[in-house]
Amino acid sequence: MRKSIIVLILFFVTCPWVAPVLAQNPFTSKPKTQHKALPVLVKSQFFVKIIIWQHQLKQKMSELIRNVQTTGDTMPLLFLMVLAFSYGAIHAAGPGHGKFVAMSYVLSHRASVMVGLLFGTFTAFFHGFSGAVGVLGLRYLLQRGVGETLGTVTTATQVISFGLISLLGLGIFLKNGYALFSKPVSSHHTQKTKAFGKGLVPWALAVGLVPCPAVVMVMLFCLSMDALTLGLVLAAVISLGMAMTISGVIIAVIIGKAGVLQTVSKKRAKMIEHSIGFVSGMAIFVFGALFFTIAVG
Amino acid sequence: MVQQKILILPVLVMILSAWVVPAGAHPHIFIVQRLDVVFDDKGLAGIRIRWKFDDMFAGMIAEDHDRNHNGHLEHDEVKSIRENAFSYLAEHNYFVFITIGNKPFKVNYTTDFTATLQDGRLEYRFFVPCHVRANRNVKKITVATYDPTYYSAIFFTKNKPVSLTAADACEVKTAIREDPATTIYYGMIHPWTLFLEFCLKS
Repeated sequence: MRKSIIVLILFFVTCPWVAPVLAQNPFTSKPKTQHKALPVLVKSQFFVKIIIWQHQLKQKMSELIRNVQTTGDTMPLLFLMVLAFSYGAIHAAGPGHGKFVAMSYVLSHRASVMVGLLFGTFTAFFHGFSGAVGVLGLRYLLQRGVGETLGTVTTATQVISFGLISLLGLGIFLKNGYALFSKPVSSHHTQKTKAFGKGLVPWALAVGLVPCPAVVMVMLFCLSMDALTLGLVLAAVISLGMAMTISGVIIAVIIGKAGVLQTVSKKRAKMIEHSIGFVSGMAIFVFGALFFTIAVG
Repeated sequence: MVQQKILILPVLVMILSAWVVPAGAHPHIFIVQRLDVVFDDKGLAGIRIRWKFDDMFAGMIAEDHDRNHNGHLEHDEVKSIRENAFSYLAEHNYFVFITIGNKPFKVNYTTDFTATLQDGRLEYRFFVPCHVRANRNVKKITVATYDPTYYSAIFFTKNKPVSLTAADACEVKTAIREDPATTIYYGMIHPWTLFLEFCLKS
């Protein structure tokens, strides 16, 4: 009974992370789904401020890119890099960007802080550079209109990404479900959970596969100014900013989980660990499958 | 023990922030707008809308639709933009949400669409027909412009956000403020709205 209550609470706690990931550019693509406003417990003008900061950062960045490109003056480059890093960090604080899946995965595995850092960094760079590569591929290889085609590319990557994520979620769900609800084996035979780290790159790839619209727009703007190299550098710096935020979230979860597990007995810690893994796996599988269905449909 | 409590803190922060954070990532497109309230001999004729986009979205549209890359939009390029980067907004009421006396008015179509590109800055102009006959009674209209998906954020320009055209026969009051009756983006944003009142001059 206690296990079931823990499982239910955890499931509802994790739900709000995943809702708005399917946003499409309403100007250039027919939306398959429209956002539906979800209730929030805390409203804050701080978030409105974040939106305004993003607007200001973006405008300032475009001014500086134009300045660098038209005047050839390299002095503003450093400031531009600082802005790009800040923009990436703020941008990744919101929904999407793989935080939910990354969090769920490290919750269900024994991950070190270093692994959290690497996972966040890989995810951010895959997310950022899938946008950059997508733009370059569409423009130079396929010679297609980016704005129009990007929706199709995004949908295709979403199908792959959500498919992979839901399968990985199913694996976590089954593994922890078995450990949680099967008869406990004697501690002598209990296998120690291996430190997570081996499957890091495929996971980060699955999570970060969907192109980041922010990087796409920066790349397109740079290309329109004939500044391909600058575009790629900015994509890297924005990804670095996103990496800081995503890694920060993951590391906070890793530290928090370790703290919680230290406060209880080893037996209960094991039960909580498997409960978290079970719920995380279920949430990843359910939402991965749901978004997969929407993306395919 | 104190250390353990400190360690628990990040988890609690994460759980709480899960319900709060969904404001950060969006929007991706930023629009600054001007509204022109247009009257005719019968009363309100509609709203003329000017949207100036952020430079990066402008770059994206220019990349796809300024086919000769001359930095300006010709007739066929404007047509291409209308078909491929504007008409889909019909799904979202063209981002224009009007109420007439508290009753919603559905924007089924727009007219006079045009797009300009000047020094890399993109502007859309279009007209939303909305006929409301003027008489001695005060008519109350609200015009909220927002993207319900919040992929785009729309702000009023600071300088002359609203103008009136051919309004000589009417007494008109306008005000721009946030509309507490409308919320978007997880209930955190009240869109900036034009509150319009008019009646025939006595």
